[in-house]
Amino acid sequence: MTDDAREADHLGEELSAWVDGEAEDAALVESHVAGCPECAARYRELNALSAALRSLPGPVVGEDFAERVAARIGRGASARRYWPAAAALLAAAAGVVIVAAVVLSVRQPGPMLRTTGVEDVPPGGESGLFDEMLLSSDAAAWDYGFPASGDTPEMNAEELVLALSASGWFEDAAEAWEAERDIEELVQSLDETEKMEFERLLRTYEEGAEI
Amino acid sequence: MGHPLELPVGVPTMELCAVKGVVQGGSEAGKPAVDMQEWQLVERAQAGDAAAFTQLVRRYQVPVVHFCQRMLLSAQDAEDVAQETFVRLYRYLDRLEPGAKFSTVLFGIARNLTLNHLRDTKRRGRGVTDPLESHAGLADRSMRPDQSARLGEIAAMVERGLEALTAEHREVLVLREINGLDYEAIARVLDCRMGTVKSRIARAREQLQARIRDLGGDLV
Repeated sequence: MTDDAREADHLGEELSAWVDGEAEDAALVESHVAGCPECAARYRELNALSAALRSLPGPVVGEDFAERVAARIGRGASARRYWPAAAALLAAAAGVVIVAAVVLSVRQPGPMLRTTGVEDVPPGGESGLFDEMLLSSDAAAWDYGFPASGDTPEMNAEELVLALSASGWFEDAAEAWEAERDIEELVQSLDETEKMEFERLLRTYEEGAEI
Repeated sequence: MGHPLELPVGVPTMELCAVKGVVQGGSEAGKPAVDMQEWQLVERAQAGDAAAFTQLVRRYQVPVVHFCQRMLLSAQDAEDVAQETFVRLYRYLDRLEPGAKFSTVLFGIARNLTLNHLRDTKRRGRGVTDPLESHAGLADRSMRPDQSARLGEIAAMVERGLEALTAEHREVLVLREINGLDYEAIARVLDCRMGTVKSRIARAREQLQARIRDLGGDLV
Protein backbone atom coordinates (compact mmCIF):
# COMPACT_ATOMS: atom_id res chain seq x y z
CA MET A 1 0.00 0.00 0.00
CA THR A 2 1.42 3.43 -0.93
CA ASP A 3 1.70 6.27 1.58
CA ASP A 4 -1.00 8.18 -0.31
CA ALA A 5 -3.35 5.24 -0.21
CA ARG A 6 -2.64 4.70 3.47
CA GLU A 7 -3.23 8.43 4.13
CA ALA A 8 -6.52 8.26 2.25
CA ASP A 9 -7.66 5.57 4.67
CA HIS A 10 -7.18 7.89 7.62
CA LEU A 11 -8.67 11.13 8.78
CA GLY A 12 -6.79 14.34 8.15
CA GLU A 13 -8.37 17.75 8.62
CA GLU A 14 -11.57 16.20 9.87
CA LEU A 15 -9.79 14.70 12.85
CA SER A 16 -8.32 18.07 13.73
CA ALA A 17 -11.76 19.64 13.31
CA TRP A 18 -13.30 16.93 15.52
CA VAL A 19 -10.91 17.90 18.32
CA ASP A 20 -12.40 21.39 18.03
CA GLY A 21 -15.96 20.14 17.86
CA GLU A 22 -16.16 21.38 14.29
CA ALA A 23 -16.24 18.15 12.26
CA GLU A 24 -18.81 18.12 9.47
CA ASP A 25 -19.88 14.58 10.34
CA ALA A 26 -18.91 13.89 13.93
CA ALA A 27 -20.56 10.45 14.01
CA LEU A 28 -18.51 9.33 11.01
CA VAL A 29 -15.27 10.53 12.58
CA GLU A 30 -16.14 8.89 15.88
CA SER A 31 -16.85 5.53 14.32
CA HIS A 32 -13.66 5.71 12.26
CA VAL A 33 -11.54 6.55 15.30
CA ALA A 34 -13.14 3.69 17.24
CA GLY A 35 -11.95 1.19 14.64
CA CYS A 36 -8.64 2.74 13.62
CA PRO A 37 -5.73 2.57 16.08
CA GLU A 38 -3.63 5.01 14.03
CA CYS A 39 -6.32 7.69 14.00
CA ALA A 40 -7.07 7.01 17.65
CA ALA A 41 -3.40 7.62 18.48
CA ARG A 42 -3.38 10.72 16.32
CA TYR A 43 -6.51 11.94 18.09
CA ARG A 44 -4.81 11.52 21.48
CA GLU A 45 -1.82 13.52 20.21
CA LEU A 46 -4.01 16.32 18.92
CA ASN A 47 -5.92 16.42 22.18
CA ALA A 48 -2.69 16.59 24.17
CA LEU A 49 -1.40 19.39 21.94
CA SER A 50 -4.64 21.28 22.35
CA ALA A 51 -4.53 20.89 26.13
CA ALA A 52 -0.91 22.04 26.24
CA LEU A 53 -1.71 25.16 24.22
CA ARG A 54 -4.74 25.98 26.33
CA SER A 55 -2.75 25.65 29.53
CA LEU A 56 -0.10 28.16 28.52
CA PRO A 57 -0.22 30.94 31.11
CA GLY A 58 -1.71 34.28 30.15
CA PRO A 59 0.11 37.57 30.27
CA VAL A 60 0.44 39.76 33.30
CA VAL A 61 -1.41 42.92 32.37
CA GLY A 62 -0.85 46.04 34.42
CA GLU A 63 -3.79 47.20 36.51
CA ASP A 64 -3.56 50.57 34.83
CA PHE A 65 -3.94 49.15 31.31
CA ALA A 66 -7.39 50.70 30.79
CA GLU A 67 -6.17 54.02 32.14
CA ARG A 68 -3.27 54.00 29.71
CA VAL A 69 -5.67 53.27 26.86
CA ALA A 70 -7.77 56.21 28.04
CA ALA A 71 -4.73 58.47 28.11
CA ARG A 72 -3.84 57.39 24.60
CA ILE A 73 -7.34 58.08 23.38
CA GLY A 74 -7.14 61.49 25.01
CA ARG A 75 -3.84 62.30 23.33
CA GLY A 76 -5.18 61.22 19.97
CA ALA A 77 -8.32 63.32 20.38
CA SER A 78 -6.26 66.36 21.33
CA ALA A 79 -3.95 65.82 18.42
CA ARG A 80 -6.79 65.48 15.94
CA ARG A 81 -8.50 68.54 17.29
CA TYR A 82 -5.37 70.63 16.94
CA TRP A 83 -3.73 69.06 13.96
CA PRO A 84 -4.28 72.05 11.67
CA ALA A 85 -2.26 74.06 14.17
CA ALA A 86 0.27 71.25 14.38
CA ALA A 87 0.66 71.34 10.61
CA ALA A 88 1.38 75.02 10.85
CA LEU A 89 3.93 74.33 13.58
CA LEU A 90 5.65 71.77 11.42
CA ALA A 91 5.90 74.28 8.64
CA ALA A 92 7.10 76.83 11.16
CA ALA A 93 9.75 74.41 12.32
CA ALA A 94 11.04 74.22 8.78
CA GLY A 95 10.89 78.00 8.71
CA VAL A 96 13.16 78.22 11.76
CA VAL A 97 15.79 76.23 9.95
CA ILE A 98 15.55 78.51 6.99
CA VAL A 99 15.93 81.56 9.24
CA ALA A 100 18.97 80.00 10.88
CA ALA A 101 20.46 79.31 7.52
CA VAL A 102 19.83 82.88 6.41
CA VAL A 103 21.44 84.26 9.56
CA LEU A 104 24.42 82.04 9.05
CA SER A 105 24.76 83.00 5.47
CA VAL A 106 24.83 86.68 6.47
CA ARG A 107 27.45 86.07 9.14
CA GLN A 108 29.40 83.71 6.96
CA PRO A 109 29.51 85.16 3.48
CA GLY A 110 29.86 82.72 0.71
CA PRO A 111 27.13 80.26 0.03
CA MET A 112 24.04 81.29 -1.79
CA LEU A 113 20.85 80.11 -0.26
CA ARG A 114 18.26 78.46 -2.34
CA THR A 115 14.62 78.53 -1.51
CA THR A 116 13.70 75.58 0.59
CA GLY A 117 10.32 74.18 1.41
CA VAL A 118 9.13 71.53 3.78
CA GLU A 119 10.10 68.80 1.36
CA ASP A 120 13.70 69.98 1.57
CA VAL A 121 13.96 69.34 5.26
CA PRO A 122 16.07 66.23 5.58
CA PRO A 123 14.79 63.26 7.50
CA GLY A 124 15.55 63.69 11.14
CA GLY A 125 16.43 60.08 11.78
CA GLU A 126 16.00 58.64 15.22
CA SER A 127 17.27 61.70 17.04
CA GLY A 128 15.10 64.13 15.12
CA LEU A 129 15.93 66.96 12.79
CA PHE A 130 17.01 69.55 15.26
CA ASP A 131 19.08 67.59 17.73
CA GLU A 132 20.87 65.98 14.84
CA MET A 133 21.75 69.44 13.63
CA LEU A 134 22.89 70.48 17.10
CA LEU A 135 25.09 67.44 17.36
CA SER A 136 26.94 68.30 14.20
CA SER A 137 30.60 68.55 15.03
CA ASP A 138 31.37 70.83 12.11
CA ALA A 139 29.59 72.68 9.42
CA ALA A 140 28.09 69.44 8.20
CA ALA A 141 24.72 70.93 9.04
CA TRP A 142 25.06 72.68 5.74
CA ASP A 143 24.82 69.32 4.09
CA TYR A 144 21.14 69.56 4.84
CA GLY A 145 20.92 71.42 1.61
CA PHE A 146 20.46 75.02 2.63
CA PRO A 147 23.45 76.31 0.72
CA ALA A 148 23.94 75.60 -2.91
CA SER A 149 25.68 72.33 -3.49
CA GLY A 150 29.45 72.59 -3.34
CA ASP A 151 29.41 75.81 -1.30
CA THR A 152 29.80 74.26 2.13
CA PRO A 153 31.37 76.93 4.35
CA GLU A 154 34.40 76.26 6.47
CA MET A 155 33.05 76.59 10.01
CA ASN A 156 34.05 74.67 13.07
CA ALA A 157 31.67 73.56 15.78
CA GLU A 158 32.42 76.50 18.07
CA GLU A 159 31.76 79.03 15.32
CA LEU A 160 28.58 77.28 14.39
CA VAL A 161 27.31 77.32 17.98
CA LEU A 162 28.23 80.98 18.41
CA ALA A 163 26.48 81.90 15.20
CA LEU A 164 23.34 79.98 16.09
CA SER A 165 23.33 81.36 19.61
CA ALA A 166 23.66 84.94 18.43
CA SER A 167 20.74 84.47 16.12
CA GLY A 168 18.50 83.12 18.90
CA TRP A 169 18.22 79.93 16.94
CA PHE A 170 18.54 77.65 19.95
CA GLU A 171 15.49 79.05 21.69
CA ASP A 172 13.42 78.79 18.56
CA ALA A 173 14.76 75.36 17.72
CA ALA A 174 14.03 73.95 21.17
CA GLU A 175 10.46 75.09 20.87
CA ALA A 176 10.18 73.83 17.34
CA TRP A 177 11.82 70.54 18.25
CA GLU A 178 9.18 69.94 20.89
CA ALA A 179 6.57 70.75 18.33
CA GLU A 180 8.19 68.34 15.92
CA ARG A 181 8.07 65.50 18.46
CA ASP A 182 4.44 66.20 19.12
CA ILE A 183 3.81 66.13 15.42
CA GLU A 184 5.65 62.83 15.03
CA GLU A 185 3.36 61.34 17.64
CA LEU A 186 0.39 62.91 15.99
CA VAL A 187 1.26 61.61 12.54
CA GLN A 188 1.70 58.10 13.91
CA SER A 189 -1.78 58.27 15.38
CA LEU A 190 -3.43 59.25 12.11
CA ASP A 191 -5.27 56.82 9.94
CA GLU A 192 -4.78 56.82 6.16
CA THR A 193 -7.51 59.36 5.46
CA GLU A 194 -6.22 61.72 8.08
CA LYS A 195 -2.68 61.35 6.81
CA MET A 196 -3.80 62.30 3.31
CA GLU A 197 -5.57 65.35 4.71
CA PHE A 198 -2.49 66.24 6.74
CA GLU A 199 -0.30 66.06 3.66
CA ARG A 200 -2.81 68.08 1.66
CA LEU A 201 -2.66 70.83 4.29
CA LEU A 202 1.11 70.81 4.23
CA ARG A 203 1.06 71.22 0.48
CA THR A 204 -1.42 74.05 0.87
CA TYR A 205 0.91 75.74 3.31
CA GLU A 206 3.87 75.36 0.99
CA GLU A 207 1.88 76.99 -1.75
CA GLY A 208 1.40 80.01 0.49
CA ALA A 209 -2.29 79.65 1.16
CA GLU A 210 -3.73 79.98 4.61
CA ILE A 211 -4.57 76.85 6.53
CA MET B 1 -17.66 53.17 41.90
CA GLY B 2 -14.72 54.20 39.85
CA HIS B 3 -12.34 57.06 39.96
CA PRO B 4 -12.34 59.68 37.24
CA LEU B 5 -9.28 59.96 35.11
CA GLU B 6 -7.77 63.21 34.05
CA LEU B 7 -7.84 63.35 30.31
CA PRO B 8 -6.14 65.94 28.14
CA VAL B 9 -8.18 68.66 26.54
CA GLY B 10 -10.06 67.38 23.56
CA VAL B 11 -12.09 64.63 25.13
CA PRO B 12 -14.98 66.71 26.35
CA THR B 13 -17.55 64.01 26.86
CA MET B 14 -15.44 61.15 28.02
CA GLU B 15 -14.53 60.74 31.64
CA LEU B 16 -13.23 57.24 31.75
CA CYS B 17 -13.83 55.36 34.93
CA ALA B 18 -12.18 52.32 36.35
CA VAL B 19 -14.69 49.53 36.72
CA LYS B 20 -14.22 47.03 39.46
CA GLY B 21 -15.35 43.47 39.58
CA VAL B 22 -14.13 42.34 36.20
CA VAL B 23 -12.10 39.17 36.28
CA GLN B 24 -8.58 39.52 34.99
CA GLY B 25 -5.91 36.99 34.18
CA GLY B 26 -6.03 33.24 33.91
CA SER B 27 -7.22 31.16 31.04
CA GLU B 28 -10.90 31.84 31.75
CA ALA B 29 -10.32 35.48 30.96
CA GLY B 30 -9.24 34.32 27.51
CA LYS B 31 -12.78 33.27 26.72
CA PRO B 32 -15.09 36.22 27.18
CA ALA B 33 -18.63 35.14 27.75
CA VAL B 34 -21.70 36.46 26.01
CA ASP B 35 -21.39 38.79 23.06
CA MET B 36 -24.80 40.23 23.83
CA GLN B 37 -23.34 41.88 26.88
CA GLU B 38 -20.52 43.24 24.77
CA TRP B 39 -22.85 44.86 22.29
CA GLN B 40 -24.84 46.39 25.12
CA LEU B 41 -21.61 47.88 26.39
CA VAL B 42 -20.78 49.08 22.88
CA GLU B 43 -24.16 50.79 22.63
CA ARG B 44 -23.62 52.49 25.95
CA ALA B 45 -20.11 53.52 24.91
CA GLN B 46 -21.49 54.88 21.63
CA ALA B 47 -23.85 57.01 23.71
CA GLY B 48 -20.88 58.45 25.58
CA ASP B 49 -20.80 56.13 28.59
CA ALA B 50 -17.09 56.01 29.30
CA ALA B 51 -17.46 53.44 32.06
CA ALA B 52 -18.97 51.04 29.54
CA PHE B 53 -15.99 51.42 27.24
CA THR B 54 -13.61 50.91 30.14
CA GLN B 55 -15.51 47.76 31.03
CA LEU B 56 -15.00 46.49 27.49
CA VAL B 57 -11.29 47.20 27.76
CA ARG B 58 -10.99 45.44 31.10
CA ARG B 59 -13.01 42.49 29.90
CA TYR B 60 -10.82 41.93 26.86
CA GLN B 61 -7.44 43.30 27.86
CA VAL B 62 -5.97 39.94 28.88
CA PRO B 63 -7.04 37.96 25.78
CA VAL B 64 -6.00 40.77 23.45
CA VAL B 65 -2.60 41.21 25.11
CA HIS B 66 -2.18 37.44 25.10
CA PHE B 67 -2.97 37.24 21.39
CA CYS B 68 -0.52 40.06 20.67
CA GLN B 69 2.19 38.46 22.79
CA ARG B 70 1.95 35.13 21.06
CA MET B 71 2.01 36.87 17.70
CA LEU B 72 4.77 39.40 18.37
CA LEU B 73 6.85 37.37 20.85
CA SER B 74 7.54 40.54 22.79
CA ALA B 75 5.75 41.58 25.96
CA GLN B 76 6.44 45.26 25.46
CA ASP B 77 5.37 45.39 21.83
CA ALA B 78 2.33 43.28 22.65
CA GLU B 79 1.09 45.68 25.30
CA ASP B 80 1.66 48.62 23.00
CA VAL B 81 -0.21 47.02 20.09
CA ALA B 82 -2.98 45.83 22.41
CA GLN B 83 -3.49 49.37 23.66
CA GLU B 84 -3.59 50.61 20.10
CA THR B 85 -6.21 47.96 19.36
CA PHE B 86 -8.54 49.50 21.93
CA VAL B 87 -7.76 53.00 20.73
CA ARG B 88 -8.82 51.95 17.22
CA LEU B 89 -11.91 50.28 18.64
CA TYR B 90 -12.81 53.52 20.37
CA ARG B 91 -12.23 55.50 17.21
CA TYR B 92 -14.50 53.19 15.22
CA LEU B 93 -17.20 52.92 17.89
CA ASP B 94 -19.74 54.86 15.87
CA ARG B 95 -19.33 52.53 12.92
CA LEU B 96 -19.82 49.32 14.89
CA GLU B 97 -23.10 47.54 14.40
CA PRO B 98 -24.29 44.43 16.23
CA GLY B 99 -24.56 41.45 13.94
CA ALA B 100 -21.24 39.81 14.41
CA LYS B 101 -19.45 38.53 17.45
CA PHE B 102 -17.86 41.46 19.19
CA SER B 103 -14.70 39.43 19.70
CA THR B 104 -14.25 39.05 15.94
CA VAL B 105 -14.26 42.82 15.52
CA LEU B 106 -11.73 43.28 18.29
CA PHE B 107 -9.43 40.44 17.27
CA GLY B 108 -9.73 41.58 13.66
CA ILE B 109 -8.25 44.94 14.67
CA ALA B 110 -5.59 43.27 16.83
CA ARG B 111 -4.70 40.87 14.05
CA ASN B 112 -4.25 43.65 11.48
CA LEU B 113 -2.10 45.65 13.86
CA THR B 114 0.10 42.70 14.79
CA LEU B 115 0.63 41.78 11.14
CA ASN B 116 1.50 45.40 10.34
CA HIS B 117 3.89 45.42 13.27
CA LEU B 118 5.56 42.20 12.15
CA ARG B 119 5.88 43.60 8.62
CA ASP B 120 7.41 46.84 9.89
CA THR B 121 9.79 44.95 12.16
CA LYS B 122 10.92 42.76 9.29
CA ARG B 123 11.35 45.73 6.95
CA ARG B 124 13.48 47.56 9.49
CA GLY B 125 15.48 44.42 10.17
CA ARG B 126 14.79 44.83 13.86
CA GLY B 127 14.59 41.68 15.91
CA VAL B 128 12.63 41.15 19.08
CA THR B 129 14.37 43.17 21.77
CA ASP B 130 12.52 41.72 24.74
CA PRO B 131 11.70 38.10 23.93
CA LEU B 132 9.04 36.52 26.09
CA GLU B 133 10.29 34.69 29.11
CA SER B 134 9.67 31.02 28.98
CA HIS B 135 6.59 30.14 30.96
CA ALA B 136 7.88 26.81 32.02
CA GLY B 137 6.79 27.36 35.59
CA LEU B 138 3.36 25.84 35.64
CA ALA B 139 3.83 24.25 39.00
CA ASP B 140 0.77 23.19 40.89
CA ARG B 141 1.04 22.51 44.61
CA SER B 142 -0.89 19.28 44.22
CA MET B 143 1.70 17.93 41.79
CA ARG B 144 4.75 15.91 42.58
CA PRO B 145 7.99 17.74 41.67
CA ASP B 146 8.63 15.40 38.74
CA GLN B 147 5.11 16.01 37.38
CA SER B 148 5.54 19.74 37.74
CA ALA B 149 8.91 19.67 36.00
CA ARG B 150 7.47 17.58 33.17
CA LEU B 151 4.62 20.05 32.69
CA GLY B 152 7.09 22.91 32.63
CA GLU B 153 9.18 21.16 29.99
CA ILE B 154 6.13 20.56 27.83
CA ALA B 155 5.00 24.17 28.14
CA ALA B 156 8.45 25.44 27.22
CA MET B 157 8.58 23.18 24.16
CA VAL B 158 5.09 24.18 23.07
CA GLU B 159 6.03 27.83 23.40
CA ARG B 160 9.23 27.42 21.42
CA GLY B 161 7.38 25.43 18.79
CA LEU B 162 4.67 28.05 18.54
CA GLU B 163 7.25 30.78 18.12
CA ALA B 164 8.83 28.89 15.25
CA LEU B 165 5.59 28.75 13.25
CA THR B 166 4.77 31.21 10.50
CA ALA B 167 2.51 34.07 11.52
CA GLU B 168 -0.23 32.53 9.36
CA HIS B 169 -0.14 29.28 11.30
CA ARG B 170 0.47 30.90 14.65
CA GLU B 171 -2.53 33.21 14.44
CA VAL B 172 -5.06 30.46 13.79
CA LEU B 173 -3.78 28.33 16.62
CA VAL B 174 -3.69 31.23 19.06
CA LEU B 175 -7.18 32.38 18.10
CA ARG B 176 -8.52 28.84 18.41
CA GLU B 177 -6.69 27.39 21.39
CA ILE B 178 -5.78 30.40 23.47
CA ASN B 179 -8.53 32.87 22.66
CA GLY B 180 -11.17 30.17 22.24
CA LEU B 181 -12.73 31.41 19.01
CA ASP B 182 -14.69 28.93 16.93
CA TYR B 183 -14.02 28.39 13.22
CA GLU B 184 -16.71 30.79 12.09
CA ALA B 185 -15.33 33.57 14.29
CA ILE B 186 -11.77 32.91 13.12
CA ALA B 187 -12.97 33.03 9.51
CA ARG B 188 -14.45 36.47 10.21
CA VAL B 189 -11.25 37.69 11.86
CA LEU B 190 -9.15 36.43 8.96
CA ASP B 191 -11.76 37.36 6.37
CA CYS B 192 -11.61 33.95 4.73
CA ARG B 193 -13.77 30.84 4.33
CA MET B 194 -14.33 28.38 7.17
CA GLY B 195 -12.82 25.63 5.05
CA THR B 196 -9.61 27.62 4.89
CA VAL B 197 -9.61 27.97 8.66
CA LYS B 198 -10.14 24.23 9.09
CA SER B 199 -7.27 23.24 6.80
CA ARG B 200 -4.99 25.95 8.15
CA ILE B 201 -5.51 24.84 11.73
CA ALA B 202 -4.87 21.22 10.78
CA ARG B 203 -1.62 22.19 9.00
CA ALA B 204 -0.58 24.45 11.87
CA ARG B 205 -1.01 21.57 14.31
CA GLU B 206 1.09 19.28 12.13
CA GLN B 207 3.80 21.93 11.95
CA LEU B 208 3.72 22.51 15.69
CA GLN B 209 3.94 18.81 16.45
CA ALA B 210 6.88 18.51 14.09
CA ARG B 211 8.64 21.40 15.84
CA ILE B 212 8.01 19.85 19.24
CA ARG B 213 9.37 16.53 18.02
CA ASP B 214 12.46 18.36 16.71
CA LEU B 215 12.93 19.71 20.21
CA GLY B 216 12.80 16.18 21.53
CA GLY B 217 9.32 16.46 22.93
CA ASP B 218 6.51 13.97 23.11
CA LEU B 219 3.12 15.17 24.29
CA VAL B 220 1.47 11.82 24.79
